[in-house]
Amino acid sequence: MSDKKHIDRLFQEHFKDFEVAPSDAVWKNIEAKLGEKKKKRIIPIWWKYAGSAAVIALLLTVGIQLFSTEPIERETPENVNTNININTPSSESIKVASDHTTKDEANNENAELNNNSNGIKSTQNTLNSKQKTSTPVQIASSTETTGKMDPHDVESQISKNNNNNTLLANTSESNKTKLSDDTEKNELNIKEEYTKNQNIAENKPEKPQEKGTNLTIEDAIKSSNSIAEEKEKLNRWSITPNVAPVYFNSLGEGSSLDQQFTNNAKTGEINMSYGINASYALNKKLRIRSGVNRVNLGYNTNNVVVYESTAFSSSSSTLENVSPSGGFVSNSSNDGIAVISSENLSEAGKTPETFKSFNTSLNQSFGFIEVPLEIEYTITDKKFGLNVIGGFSSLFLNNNDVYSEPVNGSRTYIGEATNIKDVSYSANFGLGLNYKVTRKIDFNLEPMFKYQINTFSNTSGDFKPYFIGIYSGFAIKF
Amino acid sequence: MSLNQLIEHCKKNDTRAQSELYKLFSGKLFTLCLKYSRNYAEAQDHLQDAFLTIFDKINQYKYKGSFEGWLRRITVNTVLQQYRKEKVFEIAQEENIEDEEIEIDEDTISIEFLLKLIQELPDRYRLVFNLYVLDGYSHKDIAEMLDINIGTSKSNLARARQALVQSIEAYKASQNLQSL
Repeated sequence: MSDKKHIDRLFQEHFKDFEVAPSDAVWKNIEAKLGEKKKKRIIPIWWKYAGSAAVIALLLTVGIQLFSTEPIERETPENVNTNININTPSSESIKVASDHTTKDEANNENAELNNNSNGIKSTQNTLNSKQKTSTPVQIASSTETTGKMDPHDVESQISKNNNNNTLLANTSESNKTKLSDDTEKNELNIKEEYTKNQNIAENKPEKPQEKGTNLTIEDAIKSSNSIAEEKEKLNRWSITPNVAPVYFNSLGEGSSLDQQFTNNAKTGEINMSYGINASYALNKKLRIRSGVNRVNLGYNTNNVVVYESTAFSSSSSTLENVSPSGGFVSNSSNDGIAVISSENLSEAGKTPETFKSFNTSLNQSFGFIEVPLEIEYTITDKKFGLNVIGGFSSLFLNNNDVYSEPVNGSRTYIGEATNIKDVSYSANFGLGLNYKVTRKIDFNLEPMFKYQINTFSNTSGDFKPYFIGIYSGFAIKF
Repeated sequence: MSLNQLIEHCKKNDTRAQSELYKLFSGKLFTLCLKYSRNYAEAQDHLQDAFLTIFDKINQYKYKGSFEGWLRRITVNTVLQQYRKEKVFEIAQEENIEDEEIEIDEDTISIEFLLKLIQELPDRYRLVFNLYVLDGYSHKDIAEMLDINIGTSKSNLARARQALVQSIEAYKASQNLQSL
C-alpha cells in the first residue's frame, strides 16, 4: 500500500522540482513590447506637462475672473458712492443713538445728525431722484427748517450742528450745554425732528436695503452693459504669421556627434524659423496659443580633421552617432571619409594617408516642425504691450544632415545623425513686446528661449541644446 | 548584482536588468503558467503577459515578502484575469459533491503526463486544483479570486481530483494491457 498515494501528494511531489524553460521567442516578444511601451510613453509625459499647464491656465483664468469682478462693481457709477456716503452717517447716527442711554442725548444727536445729513444733501447736487424719494422724511424736515428760517440761517444752523456733532463725538457732556445755548426754535425743531428722526430710525433697517436693491439693479444693468462693452472690445482670436532668426547652441560642453569632440570649440549657427501661430484670449490677461513653425538649427564643431581613408577601417574613426548614408552620395570617395578631432590627432598617433583638409569644421544641421503650446500673460496692454510667454513645443524632426566644412572649400555631406529623436520637446520662455498698429493689427516682437528636452540620445559630455529666436510678426485680431 | 539591485534597475526600466530578471525567473514562472494553462502555446502567452505586467508594476514592489512570491502572484493573477475575460468562471452552478479519499498507485507516471492531465482538465477544475493543491491557496482565497463561493471551490476541487484519478487509472489500465 506504500505506493498508494493521495492524488494531491502525487502531484505536489512531482511538480516540486519541475521547471521548464520557455522558448526564446517569448523574451523577444516581451522585449519588443517593452520597447513599444517606452516609445509610447514619451507622448503621455508631454501631455502630462501640457495637462498641468492647462490646469494652471484654467486656475489662473478662474482666479483672475474672480478678482476682476470686484473692481467692476466698484467702478460702477459715482452716484452709488455718494449715496453710500450719505447712508453711512445716518446709519452711524442710529448706532450712536442706541449707544447712548439718556433720551436727551439721543435726541440731540439724532437731530443734529439728521440735520447734518440734510446739510450733506443740500450740498450735494448729484443726488438722483431715487435717493430723494427714499428719504422723504429727511427732506420734509429740511424743508420745515428752511420754512422757518432763511437759507443762510439753515446753513449756519447746519454748521453749528456740525460743530455740535463733532463736539458730541468728543464729549457728550459739553454737548448738552451747547444745545441749551441754542434758541427755543431750534429746540423745537430738534424735538420735531427727533420724532421724525425716530420714524426714520424705525424705518432705517428697511430703507438701506431698499436703497441697496434699487441701486444694485441699476448697477447690475450698468455693469452688465460695461461687461458687454468689454466683450465687444476684446478680440479673442488672433493669427500671427511669424519669422525669426534662431541661434542654436549648447549650454554645457559636450557633443552630440562623438565623444572625441566633447572639448572641441563649437559655434552656434543662425538659421531661420518661420510659421504661423493662432492664439485665443481666455480673458484680458491670458492668451493660449499654438501653431506650426518650421525651424532649422545647426552648429559647427571646429578643429576637426577630415581625411579620406582606405587604410583605416571605418569603425575606428567614423563618428559614433553618424551613419554615412551611401545612397545619397554620388561621390564614391566619400565612403572612406574619416573624421577625427585635431586635438586627439597627436595622441592617437595615427597618420592618415591623405588629409582632405586640416582645420575643418563639422556642421550638423537639423530641422524640425515645431508645434508650440504656450500661454501668454499680459503685463501691460497699452499702445505698447508687454507680456510673458511660457510653454512647451513638440519638435518633429524633418531634416538631419552632417557636413564637413573646410575653411576654404566646399561642403561635403557625411551622413546623418542617428541620435536625434523623431519627436522631442522643448521648454519655452520668452517676452512678448507688441505695438498696436491699428485696432485689428499688432506688431509683435518676441525674444524666446527654448530649452530642448529629449532631442538627442547618446550625447557625450554635458550637451544641453537650446535655441534662441527673436520672433517677429503681425498679429491679426478678430 | 544582488536581487535587490536588479529590482532597482528594473524599476528604472533598464533593459539589461529586465533581461536578467527574465532569465532568473522565467523557468519557474513558465512552469506555473503551464500548470494553469490549457496548453504550451497558451502558457507562453500567459508568461509574456505576466512579465509585461511585472515590469510595469515592479515599482509597486516594496520589498515586503519574497520577490518570487510576488512574481508568482502576479503571474497567477494574469492568468486568472485572462480567463475572467473569457468568462471561464461563469459555469452554471452545479450540485456539490462529497470529497472522498482518492488514492492511486504511483508507478512510472511522468511529470509530462501529469502536466498533460492537468491541462486537459476543464478550466475551472484546473484552476482550483492548481490554486489549492499546488500553490497552497485556501478555499476562501480561491473563492475570492475566482468570484465563486467556497462550496463551489470545494466541489470543483473534488471533481478535479476525480477526473485526474480516472485519467490515471485509465492510463494505467492501458499500460497494463500493453504489458500483457
